[in-house]
Amino acid sequence: MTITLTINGERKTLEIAPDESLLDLLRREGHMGVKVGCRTGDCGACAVLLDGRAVNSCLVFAAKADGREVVTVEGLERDGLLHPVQRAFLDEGAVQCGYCTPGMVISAVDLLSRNPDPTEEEIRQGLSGNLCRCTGYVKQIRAVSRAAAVLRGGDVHA
Amino acid sequence: MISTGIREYLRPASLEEAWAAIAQCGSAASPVGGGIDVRLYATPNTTTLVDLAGLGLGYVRDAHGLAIGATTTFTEILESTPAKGYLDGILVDVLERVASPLQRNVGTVGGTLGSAHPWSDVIPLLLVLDAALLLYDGRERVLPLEEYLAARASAERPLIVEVRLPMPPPSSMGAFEAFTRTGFDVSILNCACLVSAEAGRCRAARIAVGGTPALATRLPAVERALTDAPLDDPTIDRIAALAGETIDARDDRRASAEYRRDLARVGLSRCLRRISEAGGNG
Amino acid sequence: MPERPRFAVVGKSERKVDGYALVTGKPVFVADLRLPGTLRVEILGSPHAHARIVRIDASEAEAMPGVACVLTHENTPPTRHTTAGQGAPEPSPYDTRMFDDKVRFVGDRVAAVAADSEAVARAALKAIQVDYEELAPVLSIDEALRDGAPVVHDESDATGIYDAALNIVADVDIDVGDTAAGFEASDVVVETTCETQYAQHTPIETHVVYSYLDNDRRLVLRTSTQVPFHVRRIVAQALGIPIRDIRVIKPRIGGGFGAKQEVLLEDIAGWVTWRTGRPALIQLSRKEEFTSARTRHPMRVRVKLGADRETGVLRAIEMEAISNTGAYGAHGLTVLANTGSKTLPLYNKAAHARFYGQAVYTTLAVPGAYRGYGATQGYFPLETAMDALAERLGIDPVELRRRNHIRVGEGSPIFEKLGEGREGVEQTIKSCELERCLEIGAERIGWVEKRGKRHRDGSRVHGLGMSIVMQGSGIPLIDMGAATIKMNEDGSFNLLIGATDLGTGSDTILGQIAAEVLGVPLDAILVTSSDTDFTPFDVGAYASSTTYVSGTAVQRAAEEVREQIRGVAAPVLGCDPGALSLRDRSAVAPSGERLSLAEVCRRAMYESDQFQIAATASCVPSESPPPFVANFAEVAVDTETGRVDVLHYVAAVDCGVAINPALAEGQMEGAIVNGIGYALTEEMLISSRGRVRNPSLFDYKIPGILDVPKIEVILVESYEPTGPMGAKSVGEIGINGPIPTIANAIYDAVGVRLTETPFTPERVLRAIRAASSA
Repeated sequence: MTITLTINGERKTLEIAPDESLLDLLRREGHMGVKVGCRTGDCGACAVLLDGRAVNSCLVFAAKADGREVVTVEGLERDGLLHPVQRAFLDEGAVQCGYCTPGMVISAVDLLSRNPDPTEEEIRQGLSGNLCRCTGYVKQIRAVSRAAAVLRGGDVHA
Repeated sequence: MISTGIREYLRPASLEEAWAAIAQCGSAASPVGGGIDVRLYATPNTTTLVDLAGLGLGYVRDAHGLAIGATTTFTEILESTPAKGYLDGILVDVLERVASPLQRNVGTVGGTLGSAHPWSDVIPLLLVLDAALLLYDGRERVLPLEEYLAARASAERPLIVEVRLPMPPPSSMGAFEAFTRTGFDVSILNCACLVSAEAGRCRAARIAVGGTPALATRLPAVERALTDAPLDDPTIDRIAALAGETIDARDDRRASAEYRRDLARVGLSRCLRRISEAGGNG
Repeated sequence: MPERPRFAVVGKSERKVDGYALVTGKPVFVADLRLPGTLRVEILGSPHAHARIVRIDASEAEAMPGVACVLTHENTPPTRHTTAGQGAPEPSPYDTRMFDDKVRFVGDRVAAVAADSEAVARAALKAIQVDYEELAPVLSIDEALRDGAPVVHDESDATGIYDAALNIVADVDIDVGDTAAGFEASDVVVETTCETQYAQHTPIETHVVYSYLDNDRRLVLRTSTQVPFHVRRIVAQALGIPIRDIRVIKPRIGGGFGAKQEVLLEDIAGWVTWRTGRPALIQLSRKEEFTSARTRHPMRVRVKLGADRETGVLRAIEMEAISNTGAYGAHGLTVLANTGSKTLPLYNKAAHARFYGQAVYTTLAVPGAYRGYGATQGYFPLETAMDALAERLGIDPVELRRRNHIRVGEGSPIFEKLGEGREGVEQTIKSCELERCLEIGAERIGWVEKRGKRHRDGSRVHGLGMSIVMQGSGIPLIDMGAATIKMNEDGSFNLLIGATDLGTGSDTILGQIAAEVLGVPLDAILVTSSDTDFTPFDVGAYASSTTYVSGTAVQRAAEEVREQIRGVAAPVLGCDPGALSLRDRSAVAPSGERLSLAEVCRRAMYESDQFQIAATASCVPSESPPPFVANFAEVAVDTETGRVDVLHYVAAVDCGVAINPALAEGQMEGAIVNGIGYALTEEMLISSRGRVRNPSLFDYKIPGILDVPKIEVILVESYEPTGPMGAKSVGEIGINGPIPTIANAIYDAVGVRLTETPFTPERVLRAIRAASSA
């Protein structure tokens, strides 16, 4: 079947299998920032924004993305400038192996778009579906807080 | 998702069209709400997916209680004003802790009821809130949630169109407790209560315990024991102990039957104490 | 303590050199490669815990359209080897064939299909017909050691097994003095036996390999590994291909923690590509990662301590460890030995010490290397016994550690007697800030104020616990790491290292060491790591070797390059080479006159007496200076449900000079959280038929962001004179603290000593009830 969707701002018409996941579609279209961790929605490594909401792309049928907007981690950088969440993750040392990072960043972007001044508890709730084995989450919480402050200051890309 | 025989993904524009597709394929068709449970648990004989997202069933309305469209996502429910205002926001309190934000953004209330996972937190809550479902299988009808769940093994299952919650009875309070292993986890046991109290006495009670590991059911014996009883510590202890004894607890890989009885007792005790302290006794 | 020099780049929390690529989702992981014609390989796993393959018929599968080949024991090399990524000759038995005619655990390899797509490969797996002769399984240590137990490895061509007929992979027994006499002479004797569970590393990226032939028909393995050079050697051995025909590349990988110190998939992928000429991709599903990759060694460890009542000093320590090494013996001996070698020396005051134990085969999922590597299992009984001893002696637990721990200038006979396999290497401690670690940690957690108070909040009781731990920094006289540095004419340098960055940040810290010596900022160092064609040898990332061993190699290479730079610049600046210092991207004479490094290299590359400014240097360490951590935790135990919540965890860590403080903290934070999961919620459940019942993240619960307490990692720097820039390693040690620290805190809270991990709510509740009815 055919669907038409926007991926990182680009409109695309694509042939998909009816049972294909959004994860597999995005990766075969070359968006390797969308990671395979478990394929069962337990780890969050595959998270992308679907109409602005963070979702496990392994749990969403590609067919459901028809007519909708998908943003992957690759779509967050603008004109060579990192999104404040990406920058904060780097600056706070919140990236170790980096495999969970795209999913974390996506969840954080969704959280901050809805809650610009989250408490630590709210940050944890916002990232609760993203597992990490390297960092212990300590610096990631700080990074999201820092990015929130930057975003509130109006500095969208730095 | 294991290799599938899925050949078609249909996106009907009306309820009639959706039902026609399902009726035609029988058990080889699966309705799709958010699609999470279809991706995770679709049976190998499923050939046709029927996506209900285009039927305009994403809404939460004040309607002498609440009316929630079947394809409303958990996040949409959480963010809706009517849900926040219903029974002191109990729906929000419970849904906020279910799964993860990633899954709440996709999972629908209709999908969750259709799957009826035994660990479901939503189902015991809706049971005590006396939910009814607007169903469609060629004709519309309304069925209490309990009856829908009782018939879920039958071959021809109607489509869920809407979840309806009545106005909560006067002077009633709800409470919910769930026990998980880690923060992002399904419940290994959960309890939901709705208690109407007057002058420190319980006038009516609805109590459901789930994840025993079976799907949540009401506990009529416990409800009867609580009705007309004072909401004091001795009563609460007695009722909680009764719940622990009453539930059909089994061992599974998440917990033993014995431990689940403990959790049922503790969970119900905490629910009733919270209700009692919050003024359910005045 | 020797004076710590002032550093320009070392000691700074520089951003990771690979950070930009990771945070923007660049295609830098193994499976992000796409080559046309790639075969997908799926593996058929055994449904039985123990069986002979009587007949295997792959003809139907082979005939299916889209299937390129089917591998079984009938058409693959029979060479027995070890999958353990260790230096040759490996201290692990050669008990593994690529495909065997016997299966030894549920999920063991039976066959593999290479096909055009995942779906075709899976369908073809189903068409392979296998007749099994089921054999009696061996499902526990006790079953393995029973008289007449089934023999897991009865093949005639395995080597390196201590006693295959008795299922004993390894046997260790060392002693110092006379422990029997030591206990006799002790006023107080305490003994405990602890059991640890099957746990899995759960790297978020499962094992994955992409193989292809390059234009010169050499086999290229692009693989998620911690040990690229060992992979090359072992694949050459297993496939019967010359080493010169193999290139191993480790790109970015999604975590390892020891799971990837193993040759788990590269042999199959390599064989498929070698035979078919086509690229091949194998990625384990999450389920396979649980059943068929590697796990922690479950162990039963008994510790006995004897002490003098007046001084509180230990007279005798005995540790007995029995390790379940699963169906294959990879890392069996070395993890067992490490259980004693990285624990007992901590308490070197005991004149009498004994470590003994065995690693045994079972027909269960296969343990391998896992952060801590036996020390983690050993610290559970050791540090809880110390806690019990403190109580018996009436001495504060912190004070008891103070009186007993090893100090600068001291050694331990254990260092010499017990290494990572056989004998170890004598050493004297040259850096140890445990004193300050204990002081700082105790203060941060509120040790004096809160311990013993059993503060109640609702149904929860609070308690405090502590422990001290050590690890090592590489394997002395065995590990080797090398580095090559070459200069470019803009004053930048290529740093080529075999050392393997698993996300730990080793590329970054090794770059910082080079930058420090060469007087340049980090961005002047271009790090390339872990490509066996281009980077010099390194054993890989394990045994906490990278900072200490590979770091020293980098320092030496940089120093040689510095000498060459001085040699070029000196005549131009008219001074002695030795008088030149390198800083701010220049060679600077005592007069203040300077020549930029770019100038220096242009001169050497193009202008006069041309040569490539470059050097390669190696390091074989002669000792393994231990990092130390003092751990403190506050927990709340819910007496109604048994649930244990860690509220506050403090780790004061001495890892020498922290080359990059943020990365050192990151290692500790991640290891602590992993340790908390190991202590409280992680458990692989095994059925009565040897099957893993919960092979998914849905039912194998690792800590999520909602589960982590307030964690404070305090770097208490020492200066290790034998380490690069004064550094020691820090990769593993953080995981050793949580189990005993939390166990001791639970005891403080509710007076119950738990001896079996994980401390699930059910276990805790049962223990509380048993104690109150006793």
